[in-house]
Amino acid sequence: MPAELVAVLQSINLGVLLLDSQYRVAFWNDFMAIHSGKGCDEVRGRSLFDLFPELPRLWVQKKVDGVFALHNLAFTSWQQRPHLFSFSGSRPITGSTEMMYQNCTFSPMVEAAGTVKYVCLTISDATETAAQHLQLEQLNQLLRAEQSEQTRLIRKLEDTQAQLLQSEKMAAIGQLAAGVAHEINNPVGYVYSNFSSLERYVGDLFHLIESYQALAAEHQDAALRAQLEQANQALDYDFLRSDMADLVRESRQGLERVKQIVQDLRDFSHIDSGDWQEADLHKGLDSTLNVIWNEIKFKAEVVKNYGELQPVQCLGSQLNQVFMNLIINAAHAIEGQGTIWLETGAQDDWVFVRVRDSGSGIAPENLTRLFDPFFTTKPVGQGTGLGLSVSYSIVAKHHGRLEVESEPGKGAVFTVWLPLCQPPQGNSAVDLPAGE
Amino acid sequence: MSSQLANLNEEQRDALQELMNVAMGQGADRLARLTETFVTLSVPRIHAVDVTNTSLLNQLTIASQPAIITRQSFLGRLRGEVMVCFGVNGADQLADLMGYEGVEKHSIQDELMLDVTNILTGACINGLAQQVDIKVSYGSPSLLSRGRSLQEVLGAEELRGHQALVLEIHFEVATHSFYCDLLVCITEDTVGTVIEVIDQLLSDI
Repeated sequence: MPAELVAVLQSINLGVLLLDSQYRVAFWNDFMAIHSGKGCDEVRGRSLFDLFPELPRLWVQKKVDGVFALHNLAFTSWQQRPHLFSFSGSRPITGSTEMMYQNCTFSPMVEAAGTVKYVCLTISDATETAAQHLQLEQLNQLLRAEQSEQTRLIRKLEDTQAQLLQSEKMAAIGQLAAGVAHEINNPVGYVYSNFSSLERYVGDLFHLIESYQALAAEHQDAALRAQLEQANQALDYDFLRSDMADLVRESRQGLERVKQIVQDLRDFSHIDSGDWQEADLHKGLDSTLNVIWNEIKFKAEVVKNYGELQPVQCLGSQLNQVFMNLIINAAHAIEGQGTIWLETGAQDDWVFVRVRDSGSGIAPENLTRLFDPFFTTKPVGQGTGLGLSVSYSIVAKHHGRLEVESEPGKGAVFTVWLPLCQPPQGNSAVDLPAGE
Repeated sequence: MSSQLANLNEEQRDALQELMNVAMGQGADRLARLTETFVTLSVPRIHAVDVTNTSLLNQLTIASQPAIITRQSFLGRLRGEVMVCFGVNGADQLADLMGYEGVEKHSIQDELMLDVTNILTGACINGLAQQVDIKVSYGSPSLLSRGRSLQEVLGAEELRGHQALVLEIHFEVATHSFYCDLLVCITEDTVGTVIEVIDQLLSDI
C-alpha cells in the first residue's frame, strides 16, 4: 500500500480494519490500536473473535458473509446497537457514558477480478451525537410529564370555575328573588289587610240593603215595592250577592297563595348563605317544592313520606339547592306522567333525604359519570350538566354523602345523607369558617 | 426532463421491464446463495410519475394497510431512494436466517429490519447498476414511518413534487413466510442514464 494511503488511514479519526473471509484481521489502523490496546502487528492474522470475545459471533459472521456474497455495504447504527466494540467512553471526564457509541460500516474491497478479498470495517465515534440525542429525549420526557400535569391542573381549574359560576348564578338569582319578594310583599301585605276591612264593609252594606228591603216590605206601598223590585232586577241583585261571596273567598285564597310563594322564595334564597344554622329539613323540602311546583305539577304526583327528623346543622339555602336539583331531575326523567317520592328518616347521628322517581332510569355506563361537571344526557342547549356536580360538592361540604341507585327502566333513587352536627372547626381539613 | 419520463414509449417500457427482471433475477440469485433458501424478487409494475401523484398511489398494488416503512438512499449517477414496507411483524421471520437472537427486543427488531432493507436495496440496485454499468454508493438505512400506510406516507406534504421513475418490487422468502414490498424511486435527473442504456439495447437489437 502506498505510504500516503497508509498515512491517511493512520491519521483519520475513524477505526479501520480489514477482515478476510475467515474473519481474521489483515490490517487495522492506529485508531483501533489506541482503543483496543493492541498494535497492528500484534493482531495481524488473528481471529476477530479471539481479539474481541464480547462480539456477538454469529451475527458478525452473517453480517460479514453478506458483504462478501452480495458485494454490498452494511451498516450498524448507535441507535440500535450502541456499542459494537467495547471501547472506553470518549468523554472520560465530562461524559456520563462508560462506553463509546459507534456507527459502523462494512464495505467490500473488490479486486480487479471482481472478487471480494477483504471486508473493510470502519468504526465511527458517535458519542457526541448520541449524548445530545439522549439528553433531548430526557428533556422531552420531562416536558411530556409536565404537560400532563398541566392538563390535570387545567381540568381542575375548569371544574372549580364551573362550580364558582354556578354558585354565582345561584347567588344572583337569590338576590333577585329576595328583592322581588320584598317588593311584592309590601303591596300584597296591605291589599291583604285591606281585604279584611273590605270583607266587613261589604257584609255591612248587604245588611244595610236587607234592612232597607225589610222596611220597604213593611211600608205597604205597592208602587215603592215595585220600583225597588225593578231596581233589584236591573242590577241582578241576587246574583250579585251570591257571587260577591265567591269573589271574596277566591281573592283571599289568591292573596294567601301569593304570600306563601313570597315567603318560600325568601326562605329558599336566603342571602347570607355562609351561616350554618340548625334547620328543619322538612321545611326546606316543602318550600323548595312550592318554588318549583310549576315545573313538576304536570309531570308527577309528589308523595311525601316524612320521618322524624331532628334539626340539622347546615347551610339551608344550599341544601335547598340540592333538593331542587334532585326533584327537577326526577321530573325531567319521567316520560309522560309519573310519581316522585320524597322520603326522610334518621339513623344514629345521620339523617337522610331520599328522592325517588318512576322515570326512565340511568344506564350503568352513565352512573360513574353522573357527578362529573358538564356531564348530561340531555340534548345540547337543555341543561348545563352542572346540577349534580354542584349538589355533590354541597353535600360534601356538609360532610355528607350523595348516593345514587338506578337501573334502566326502573327509575332512580338519590339519597342525601347528612350528619346531624358538623365536625368542630379546625378538626377537619375540609372545614369552612362560619360566615364565609 | 419530465417529458422524458412521461414519454417512455411501449418499446422502452418493455425493455425497461426486461432489464429490471434480469437485475432482480441476479439479485435473488445472490440472496439465495447467501441465505441458502429460495427467494423471489419480482417486478410487478413500473410507473413514471410524480412520486406523490394520487393516481400512482391508487395504482400501487402495495398494501394500503399500516406498515413499518424503512428507507435507504442510493447515490451517484443513478440516484434515488428505496422504500421497504414491512408488515406489523417487521422482519422477525428472518431473525434466524440473519443471525439475530433476542428478537423480542424493540431495538433488535428495528436493527433486523434495517439490515434486511440494506440487503434488499443492495440486491436490487446493484443488479440495476450493473446492467447500466454505473457505480453506486449507499447511505445507511433508517426508519421512515411506523404505523402508517405507504399511501399516507407518500401523500404527506414533505414528499410533494418529486418526479421519479417508480418500480414496485415484491420480495418473498416462502420457506420463512416472509413477504415485503419495495418501492424503488429513481430521480428524474438520473433516469436519463437508464433510458440511454435502454435505447442502446434497443438499437442493438
